[in-house]
Amino acid sequence: MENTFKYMKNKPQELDTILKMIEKLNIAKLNYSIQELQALNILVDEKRDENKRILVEARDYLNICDELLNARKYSSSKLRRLYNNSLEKREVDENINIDLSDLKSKIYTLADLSFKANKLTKWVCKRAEDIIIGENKENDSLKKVIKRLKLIYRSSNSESTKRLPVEDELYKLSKEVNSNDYKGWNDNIEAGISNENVIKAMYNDLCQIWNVENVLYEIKSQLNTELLKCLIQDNYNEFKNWGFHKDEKGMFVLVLDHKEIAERYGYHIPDLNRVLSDDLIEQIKKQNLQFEFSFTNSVRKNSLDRIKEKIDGKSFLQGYKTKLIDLLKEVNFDNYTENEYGLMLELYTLGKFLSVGTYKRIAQEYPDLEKKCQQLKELVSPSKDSKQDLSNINVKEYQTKYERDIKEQIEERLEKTRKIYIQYGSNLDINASIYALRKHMRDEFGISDIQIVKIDAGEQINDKGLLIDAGTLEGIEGFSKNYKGRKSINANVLKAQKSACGVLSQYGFDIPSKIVQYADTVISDERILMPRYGLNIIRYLTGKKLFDFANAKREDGTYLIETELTDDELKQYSTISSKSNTNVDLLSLCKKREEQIKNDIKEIKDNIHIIHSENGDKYVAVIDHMINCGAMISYSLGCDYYVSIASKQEDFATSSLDLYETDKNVPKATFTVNANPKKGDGKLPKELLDYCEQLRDEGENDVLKMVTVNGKNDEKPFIKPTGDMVVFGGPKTPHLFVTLKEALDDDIDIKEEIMYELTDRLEAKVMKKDEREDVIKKSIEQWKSINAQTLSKMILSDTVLTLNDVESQGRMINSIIKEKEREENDITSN
Amino acid sequence: MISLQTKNTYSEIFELMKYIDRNDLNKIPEQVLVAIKENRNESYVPKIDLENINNSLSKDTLALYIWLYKTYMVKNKQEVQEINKILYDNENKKSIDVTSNIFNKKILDEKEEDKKDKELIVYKESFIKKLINKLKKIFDKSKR
Repeated sequence: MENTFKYMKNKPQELDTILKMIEKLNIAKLNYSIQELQALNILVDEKRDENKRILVEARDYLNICDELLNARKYSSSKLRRLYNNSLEKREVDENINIDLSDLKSKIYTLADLSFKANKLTKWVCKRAEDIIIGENKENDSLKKVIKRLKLIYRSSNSESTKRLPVEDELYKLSKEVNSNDYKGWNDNIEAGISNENVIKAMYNDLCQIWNVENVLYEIKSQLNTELLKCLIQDNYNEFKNWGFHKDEKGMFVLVLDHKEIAERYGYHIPDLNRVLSDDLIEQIKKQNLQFEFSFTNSVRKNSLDRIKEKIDGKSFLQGYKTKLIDLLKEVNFDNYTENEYGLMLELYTLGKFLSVGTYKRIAQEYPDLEKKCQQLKELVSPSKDSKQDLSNINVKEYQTKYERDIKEQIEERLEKTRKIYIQYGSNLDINASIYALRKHMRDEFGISDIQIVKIDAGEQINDKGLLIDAGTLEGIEGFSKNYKGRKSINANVLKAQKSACGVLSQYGFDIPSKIVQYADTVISDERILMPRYGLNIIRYLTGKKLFDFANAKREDGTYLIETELTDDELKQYSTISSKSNTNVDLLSLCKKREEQIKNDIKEIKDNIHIIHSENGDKYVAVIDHMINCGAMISYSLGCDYYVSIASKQEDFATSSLDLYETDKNVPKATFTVNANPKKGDGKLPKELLDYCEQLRDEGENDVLKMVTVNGKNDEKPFIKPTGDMVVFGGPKTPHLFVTLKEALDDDIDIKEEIMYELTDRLEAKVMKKDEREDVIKKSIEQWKSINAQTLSKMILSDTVLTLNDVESQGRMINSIIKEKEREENDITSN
Repeated sequence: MISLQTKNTYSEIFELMKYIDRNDLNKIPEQVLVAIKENRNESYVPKIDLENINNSLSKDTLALYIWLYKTYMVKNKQEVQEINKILYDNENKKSIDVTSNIFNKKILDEKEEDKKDKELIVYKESFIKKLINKLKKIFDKSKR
């Protein structure tokens, strides 16, 4: 493909390299690979040898990836792309060990091969297009032409839509390029060649790239189909965190999140009906495989840990940091090549892009670094204003163009509308984001009249105001895109963002690091029962007090947000003033909550039932109204399951909605059942799950039936695929209820009926008081945490340990950590 | 390659961590906790008996806990010194024990040897006596 695009002026050298790679991706071989993959049925073990042969061949065809190691440097100017790719680069094993002896290995193999196919698509085909278009705005005309040509290409290959005659369409386009819409077109093309010939030649050249792209997509789809089959067979045993979500265009994305495969990664499945079997599609439609649902609580923890790890700058960034510092130690501005400067700058920017916290730490530890990096930036891409004084540049000011653009957009919008829209509810993320934005606008622009406007979820905003949407962790819409005519700040987990204030912090707004770390943390352990714990306290705070509290540390270096507060500390961060109408008395709030927890514990204690089973006795708390954090309290008392039945539900914690209100003649209720993740297998009993599934699928059973009000028929009960949670009605489906199948006596209480049905399925019996006390006593003893010092004294008094015993353990763990760091360095420096 | 014994030690310390006060636990760097978590033997989940902690955990686990405690969780230098002193004393005591054991063994060995020698002498005497007696008898017989 050396003579392609010869009619173009200023043909970038990089294009030739990429085109050579495309040539190497032999279409005939790739097509053969697809045919082979179509014959693949990886779940049939008798075909193991044949499957292995097919996968080995597919891998060999895709192994041109190795050359991409050299191609990576070409993407240095596209940091965003590099960032996205780096997530893949991190854990993909270039030498896949194809072992099809067990399901887990099959999944690894398929996922890794799919990564390779995807990398080739992105780094070669997409990159080729980007290079041709170039990065200058003047190339808008070229961009438009390529877009049109792609439409013609697609329509000529389409099986579903009407095919356009290619020749005619190309001719039409060659005439159109003379119009004002394609202003500047001629600047891209060598003089003396007619537009008609150029368009035709360009179409043929691009077709070669798009053909490869299509085949690669097909290969990826085939691999993903097999992958999906394996995942379904695995039935969430090993790979707990996967499913589907729809992207902004409504296309389905298979999302697989397993730390041993790669970063959480979405595989686009362009034509679900064609790729997946009917029964799979049925399951997806029923939302059995909905990613958002499986991506919660304990399952979500894996991802959150990793995101936290990334935000804290551990492991992954460690490699970048070490590499960068090593390079900087040696830096000599006279000897370095431009590429070497580029690499260093790239590392630095990537590090910063990934984590503000780490970036700040690096900057603090190595004050020279910011200055040197600015100088490197100047060397690599000389600024128009070369007289800029570099000595005064602050790290905080150093941002990528992308980040600056976003920040400017936010500032511009706030200046124009003077409004921040939020959805109902109040949480740490929203409170912190509001204060950060208000403070920024006041300090930087003198604007202090920013209003907060509360709207309903999904409500349209007519003035294109700024929306802080912290309601979901799955914010695929970044700020850079227009979303239903409005701008929204939302977190994108794929970019290591987990909250609105995390996004703002990344774009350069000043937000304390501890808020970014905890903004979307859901406390799901015993700390929820500690009203004085900092993370519980911070949720009461707003404005300056919120930021002060997040930064506050004790003398021993403990952040207040991460410990239990004393009376004095609570008083210090309270706002008590006769003039203010927003008083927050933390001490009395804590005491109130302590009292509340005490009452809740008593109530739950009185409602514990016992289930006798072959695997030992189990305990279930059955409560007939909503108790704040009831499940956690019951777990702390030793319960295996928690059943909550309600006829009133909290509406965003502000008012309570009477479920009888809509139709008082029909008694309605909602219920949820949860399993204690720390006991047994952490799942609900099969009998109960079967019962709930039948009620969900058939809409009724002998006693109960589901009803929806206000015509909201699309609201469905949720049974978590991991089998640890069942929800029939609640805040997420406020119009869905359970009622009696047939109206019985007036005296019948729907809640009692549900309770009877559920305890019957569980074969749970009410416990005697002394039995209950025994269980609770044992459990409390188990939950009671030990002071580290007490434990050390206990050990040292009873066991003869020597200095050598202790130090050798320390040496061992340090060597493991260092080994891990070395491995990460190797990965990142490759 | 981490040995199974070390992996089991990490399984035990991982379980033990669940009982440690969170404020204390938060002082241990995350990379250390991650190393423990990632390198433990996942199929071994020990039961911790807090009443009898020293018997429900291996010596390696207890040693690792003390290392973690004195490296990260201890509040003041004095406490570290106190712990180090205990460990150092134990080390010394151990080497004294070892030395004294060797010494005692030597004495015992000597005694044993002595005993054997004595037994041998007794045996020799008896044999010689027997021989002499025999010779005497023969001599006496011949004399007659």
